[in-house]
Amino acid sequence: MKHVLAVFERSIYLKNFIAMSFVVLFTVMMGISAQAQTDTSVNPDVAAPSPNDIREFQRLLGDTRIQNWLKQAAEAEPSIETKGSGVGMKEQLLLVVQKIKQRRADLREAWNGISLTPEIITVIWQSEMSDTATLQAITYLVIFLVVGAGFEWLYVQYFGQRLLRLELQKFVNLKRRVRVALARAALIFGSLFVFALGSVGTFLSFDWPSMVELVVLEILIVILVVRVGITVSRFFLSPRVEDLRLVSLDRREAKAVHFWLAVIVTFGVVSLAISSVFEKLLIATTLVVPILANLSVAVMGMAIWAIVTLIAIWRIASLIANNRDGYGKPSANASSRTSARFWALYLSIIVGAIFLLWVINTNAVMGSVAIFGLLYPATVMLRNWVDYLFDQAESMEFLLEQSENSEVLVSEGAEEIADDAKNAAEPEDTTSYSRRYDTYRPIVRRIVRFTLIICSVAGLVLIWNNGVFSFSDRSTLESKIFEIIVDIIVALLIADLVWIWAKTAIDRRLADYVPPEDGHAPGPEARMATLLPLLRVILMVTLLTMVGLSVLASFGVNIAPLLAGAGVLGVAIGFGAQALVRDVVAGIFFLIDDAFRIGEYIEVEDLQGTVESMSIRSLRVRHHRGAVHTIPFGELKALTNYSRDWVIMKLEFRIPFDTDMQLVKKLVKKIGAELKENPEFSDSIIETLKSQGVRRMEEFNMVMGVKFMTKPGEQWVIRREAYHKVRDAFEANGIGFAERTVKVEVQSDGPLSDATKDAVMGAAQNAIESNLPAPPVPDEP
Amino acid sequence: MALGVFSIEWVEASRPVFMMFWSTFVGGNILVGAMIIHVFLGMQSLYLRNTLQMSSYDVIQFASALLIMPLLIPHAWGIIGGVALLNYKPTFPLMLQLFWIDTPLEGLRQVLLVVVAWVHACIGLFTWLKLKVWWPRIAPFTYPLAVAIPVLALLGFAEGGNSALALLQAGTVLPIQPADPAVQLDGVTFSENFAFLTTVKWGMLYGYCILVAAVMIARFIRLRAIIGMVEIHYQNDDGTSKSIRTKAGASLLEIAIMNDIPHANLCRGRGRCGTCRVLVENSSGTISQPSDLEQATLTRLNCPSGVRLACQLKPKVGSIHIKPLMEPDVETKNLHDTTTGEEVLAQ
Ligand code: FES
Repeated sequence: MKHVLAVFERSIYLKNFIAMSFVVLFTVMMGISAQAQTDTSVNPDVAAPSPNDIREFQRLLGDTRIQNWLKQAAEAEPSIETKGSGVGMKEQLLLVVQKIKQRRADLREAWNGISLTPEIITVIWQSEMSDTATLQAITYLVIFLVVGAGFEWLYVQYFGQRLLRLELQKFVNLKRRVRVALARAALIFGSLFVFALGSVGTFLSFDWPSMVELVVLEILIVILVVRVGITVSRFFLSPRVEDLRLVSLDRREAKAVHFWLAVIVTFGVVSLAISSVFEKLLIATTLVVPILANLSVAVMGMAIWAIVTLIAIWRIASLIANNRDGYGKPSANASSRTSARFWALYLSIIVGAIFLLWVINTNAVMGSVAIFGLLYPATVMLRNWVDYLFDQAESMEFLLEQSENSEVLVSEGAEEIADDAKNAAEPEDTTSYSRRYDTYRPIVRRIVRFTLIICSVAGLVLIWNNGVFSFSDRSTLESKIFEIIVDIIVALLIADLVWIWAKTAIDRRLADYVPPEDGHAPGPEARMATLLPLLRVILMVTLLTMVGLSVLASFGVNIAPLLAGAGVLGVAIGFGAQALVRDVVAGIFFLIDDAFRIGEYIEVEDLQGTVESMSIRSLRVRHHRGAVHTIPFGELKALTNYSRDWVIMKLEFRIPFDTDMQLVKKLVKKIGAELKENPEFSDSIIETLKSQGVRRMEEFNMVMGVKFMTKPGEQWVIRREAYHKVRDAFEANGIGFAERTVKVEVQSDGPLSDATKDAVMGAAQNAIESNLPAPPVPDEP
Repeated sequence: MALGVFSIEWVEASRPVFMMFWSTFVGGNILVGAMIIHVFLGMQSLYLRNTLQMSSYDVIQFASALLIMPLLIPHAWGIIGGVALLNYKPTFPLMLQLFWIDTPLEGLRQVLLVVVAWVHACIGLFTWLKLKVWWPRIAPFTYPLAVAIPVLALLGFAEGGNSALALLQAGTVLPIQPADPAVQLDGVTFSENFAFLTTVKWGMLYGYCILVAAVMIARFIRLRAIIGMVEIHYQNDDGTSKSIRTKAGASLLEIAIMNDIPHANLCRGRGRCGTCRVLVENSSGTISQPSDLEQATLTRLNCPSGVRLACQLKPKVGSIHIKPLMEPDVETKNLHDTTTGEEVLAQ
C-alpha cells in the first residue's frame, strides 16, 4: 500500500508539469502553423488534413487562379533564396536588420492607420461581397453544418451505445486502458470524419461564386481544425471519464485544461483564418487600399491569441496551485505550487518572445526560440508523462495482484494467515511487478527524448534552410557544418538508444543473479553472469566504432579505405593472433555449450579446481589447495565438470567374514534414514545411504559397499557424517572392522630368540607392505 | 421542400397538398394554440429546473426551444399578416426569390427556423418514442429519415436559391409587392399596413424576451432559497463506492450528470422510464414523498419501497446513501425485458 501511496503522491507532483506542458504542445503546434502561415499563406490548416481537405486541396490545385498564384509565389521565392545563399554571414545579418527595419516602418504605418482598418476592411469586404452575398454565404454555411451535424448525429445513434460501453469499462491494466482510449478516439474521430464528410461533401457538390466559396471554405476548415484539436485533447485529457484519462490530472483540472486548450486552438485558428481571408481579399480587390491593412489584422489576431494563451497558462497554473479536493481542502503541496508558478512564468516569457519576434518579422529566430524554449519543458513533460504511465501500470498491476491474492486467501477462510501471507508477499510482489516495467522505462524515456530532439532538429533545419532537401544544391560552409552536426547528433542518439537498451537489459539480468553460496552448486543463471559482461563490452566497442566511423564519414572522411585497411589489418592480425582468436572463439562456444560456469568444480586434463573467473581468452581455475591455473579456452579439449546435477559416492568397508550381513544392512538403512532426516543434509541428499551388500571377498575380509547420491559439492560432508555414523553403529553392535593381520606360522616349539622375532616381524612387514593397496587419490577439494 | 432538389415546379405543385389543412381557419388556430401551450409548458419546466448544467441533449433541447420563438414569430406573423393585410400570394418561387435575393436575412432566419424546429421536434419525439417496445425495431430506419428530410429540404432550398439567382442573372424578377405602394386595400395603404405589421412583429419579439427574462428571474429567486451542501454516497454493484459533495437542490440524476457519474436515464429525466431508479439505503434527513408521476412509474415497475427515481428525487441538505439499480448503458430493449430490473431489485 505504501508503494501505491508514494506513486500517487508523486503523480500529484507531476501534474502541474503535464498540465502546463499540454498548453505548450499546442503552442508549438500553433507556432509552427503560424510559421507555415507567414511563410506560405496557403492554408492555416497544419493539423493532419482529413481526406476531404486533401480532396479540397486537389480541387484548389486544379483552380487556375491558385495555379497562377502558386507560380508567382514559386518565382518569387527562389530569387530570395539565391540572394541569400550567395552572400556571406555579414550580408545576411544586414538583410535581417533591414527586414526588421522595414517591418518597423510597416508597423508604424499600420499603427497610424489602425483606426481606419475596420473601415477599410468593411469597404473591401463590401466591394467583394455584398450584404446579400454575405448572408447567402452564412445561409449556405448553416446548411452545410446541418448536413454534417445530421450525419454525425446518425453516426452517434448507431455507435453511441458502443462508445458509452467503452467509457463504462473497468480496466485491469494499462494496456487495456490505452487500447480502450484508442478505440474511443477512433469512434470520436469517426464521428468527426462523418461530420467533415457531410459538410465538406455538400460544399463540394455545389458551384460557387469564388469569394463566397473562399469564405465558406475557410470557416469550414476552421471548424474542422478546432474540432480535431478538441478531439485530440479529449483523447488525452478525457475530462469526463476518469478511467480513460491518460494524464495525471483530476476532473476539475482536466476540464479546465481541456477548455483552455479548446480556447487557444479556436483563437489561433480563427485569427489565422481571418488574416488569410483578408490577405486574399486584398489580393482580389480592385480598390486601391493601404497595403498594410492586412498586417494590422494579422498582428491583432496574433496579439489576441498570445493574450489568450497567457491567460490560459496562468489560469491553469493557479488552478493547479490552489487545487482543492472534493471537500475543499487544498491538495497541492508547496513544491508543486512553486513549480506551477515557475513553469507559468517560463511559458509566458516564451510566448511573449515568440509573439515579439513574430511581430518584428524574424521568423527564423522566432522558430528557433520556440524550439529551444519549448524543448526543455517538452522533455520534462514527456518524461513525467512516461513515468506517470509506468507508475500507473505498476500500481494497477499491484492492485490487481493484491486483489487476486486476497481473493484466494479469503476464500481459504483464514484471515490471520491471509494477513501474514500478504505482509510476507508484499515485498515479493513489489519486485515482481516492477521488474517487468523497469527495463522498458529508461528505454521509453530515451526513445521519447530521441524523437523530441530529432523533431526539433528537423524543425530547425526546416526553419533555417527552407527545406532539408535544398541541401544538395547548396554547399556553403554553414550548411555543411549544420549537416555534420545533425549527422553526429543522430548517430549519437541512435547509439545511445541501443546502448541504453542493451545496458538496462544486461544490468537487470546481472542484478537478478545471486552468486551461489560457498559449497553450493551454481544454477543455470551463472552462465549469464559470465556471458553478459562480455557481451556488454563487445557491444560498447562495436557501438563506439560505428559512431566513430559515421562521424568520420559525415566529416567527409572517406572511410572506405579505413574499412578496407581494417580488413587487411584484421587478416594480418588474424594470422598473427591465430591462437588468440582460437581462444576467444572457443571460449564463446564453451559458454554456449554451457560446459562450465563460474563456481563449478572442473577437471581439465590433470588440472582441477573451481572456476573462478573467465576473461575473453582464458579460464581461471583455483585448485582446492589454493593454486590458480589459467587455461586458455583454445587448450580445452575435454573437460570434466564435477558440479552438475548429481554425484554418486561409493564407500567401502572391510568387515570380517563372520559378520551378520542382515544386521549390517539394517544398520546402514537406519543410518541412511537418520541422514535424510538431518535438516542439514536433507536438502542435498538425492538418494540416501544404502547398502550394496558384499562387493567382493578379499584374503582376510569381505568388502561391503555403500553408496549415496547427493547434489554436487555436498558429497564430502555427507561422506564424513556417514563414516562417523557407520563406525559408531558398528561399534555399538559389536561388528569389528577387519584388520589386516599377517599370520606367521613358526614351526618350532621353543621360545624364539629376539633376533628371530625381529626376522619374523620383518618378514610379516614385507608381506603387509607388498600387499598394500595404492594410496587413495585425494579427491576432496 | 425536399422535392426542391429536383425542381421548383414540383414543389409549387405539391404546396396545396401539404398546406391544405394548415391553411384552413380551424387548422391554423389549432396550430397556433398548440404552439402557445407548448411554449408555456416549456417556460414552466425552465422555471422548475434546479440547474442549467445538463446533458448535451437537454442543452440542445432547451436552446432550440428558446430559439424557436424569435425565429418563428416573424415567419408566422409574416404569413398570417401578409396574407390578411397585404394580400400576398405566397408561392414558392416568389418565396425563394424573397429569401435568396430580396431579403437574404429572412432566408437565413428561415433556414435556422427549420433546423432548430426540426432538432427540437426530433429530440422531443425520440425521447418519447424511445420507451416503446417496438422502437428498437424501427429505429434504424427512422433515424436516417430524421436526418434525410431536413437535409434534403435544405439542399432543395439551396438549390432553389441557386436557380433563383440564375433567374435573376437572366433578368426575370417576380413582382414582390404591388407596383404602387400607395394602392389601397380596405382603405389602408400598403406602407401603412407594412409598418403596422412590423410594429406588431417587434412587439411580439420583445414580449417573448421579457417573458423569458421574467421566468429566469423568478427561477433565480426560487433557487436562492436553497442553500447548503449535500453529500451523496454511491454504492455500486461491483462493490466499489464513490462519494461526491455538491450543492443541494438538483435532482440525483442532475447531480450525477454534473459530476460525470454515469447514470442510466433513458427518458432523460422525464420520470417515465424508471431506468434511473435507485435504492435509497439511508439518508440523514427525510426524503420527500414521490410525486404522482413518480409513483405511477414505480408502481408500474413493481418497485419495493425505498426505491426512488433519481430524476425526481431531490436530496435535501445532508447526506444520502444510494445504490443505482440499472446499468448506465441500459438500452430500450433491456427496458422491456423485465428480468434485468427484477433481478437487481430482488437482491
Ligand atoms: S430518467 Fe427516466 S424515469 Fe428518471
